[in-house]
Amino acid sequence: MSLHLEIVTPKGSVVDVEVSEVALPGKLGEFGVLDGHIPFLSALKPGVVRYLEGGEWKQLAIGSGYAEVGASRKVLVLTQSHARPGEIDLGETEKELADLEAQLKAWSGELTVEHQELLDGAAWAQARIDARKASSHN
Amino acid sequence: MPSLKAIRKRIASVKSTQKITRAMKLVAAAKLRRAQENILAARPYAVKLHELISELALRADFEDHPLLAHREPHRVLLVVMTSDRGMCGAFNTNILRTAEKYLRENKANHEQIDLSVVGRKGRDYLRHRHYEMKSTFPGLDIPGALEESKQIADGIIEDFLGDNLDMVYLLYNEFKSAMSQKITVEQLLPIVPLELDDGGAAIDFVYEPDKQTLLETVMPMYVHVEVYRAALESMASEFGARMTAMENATNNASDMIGALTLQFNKARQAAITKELLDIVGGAEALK
Repeated sequence: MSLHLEIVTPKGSVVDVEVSEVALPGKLGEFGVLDGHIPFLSALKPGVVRYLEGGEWKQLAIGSGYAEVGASRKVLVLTQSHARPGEIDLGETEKELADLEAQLKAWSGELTVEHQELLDGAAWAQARIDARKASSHN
Repeated sequence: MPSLKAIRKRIASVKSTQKITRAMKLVAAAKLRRAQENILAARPYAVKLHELISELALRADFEDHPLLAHREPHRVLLVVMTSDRGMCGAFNTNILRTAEKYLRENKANHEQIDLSVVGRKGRDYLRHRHYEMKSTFPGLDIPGALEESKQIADGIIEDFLGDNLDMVYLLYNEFKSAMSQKITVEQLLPIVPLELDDGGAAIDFVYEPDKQTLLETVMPMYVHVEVYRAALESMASEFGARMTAMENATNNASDMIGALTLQFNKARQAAITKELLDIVGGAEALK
């Protein structure tokens, strides 16, 4: 039995495949979805989506968003951004993350929108690094 | 009658203008296609988000959530989408005229109407007429539109949640076809939930972390994508309008070249006739 996984971004559908298992970065921690899961809605934080397609684990970095596990074996993920491991330049992204973290450390002002943007940027960079590393392990 | 040389020069210059307008038309057509593809790509995302928000709002009675709450519209923000460049017919003029009309007609209804302008054409026009603008943004292009609209949306959300605004409207050209655009005023905030007909029949989901948090996560996403969608519509309209305008310009150049060529031939014929007359006259005098 399989699940239908679809990942949709403002730029269109990026993943639309049959999978046997999905792991998603929920706001309260990673959760796995197998066939027969109850209808479920969760907010997602930037992280790595892992899915088992044709016996092979695949990874995708996503930004924040939400996931809907429907009753009809369908997993729908809506997210603002995504990156495939193959498109991620590890060195470049690590530099970006270090830069953002330095800015965060030096932050002395109020916790405004700009601060939140730095946090989001750092989380997104971390997500891409994780996806890249996870995919090179196998 | 202008000299032969002057007419020839004129023809050459119209021809090179025609080359430019033709190239601009082709570029606009290519960009239009890309903008349309992007609109189609963004649609499922926007629709799905809107459905989810509507459903959450319905289920959880969150009508009092700030982004959904309908307040007395004392302070209104009008976001006007224009382009950076001209050469696109009445595209910018129409939208700016509508903005001015809106300001005139609604002045009495609201305490304050702020303007936020995207695109250099709009900014210059309104500045020239001494309108005060709360914020201005450079015009968007297709690759950067998503990032830019996120920033615009973030600013709007912050003002809205900070109680500086009660209502936000988007004013943009909606793309109908390359020939026609429809000027649209759309309420961005507070978010208008969809009328869900099958209120009770839908599946009852398990929510994580909870409905409130979920709603707070997805609402900004929705505002982002709405601004993005409006920006894409506006860009598609701009390219469509430019395509039509440049098509007309190219045709007009053809007509002009025709008329000038006729004038050139007439002038040449006149010169030949004159020379002949001179020769005949000279021969006559020698007899």
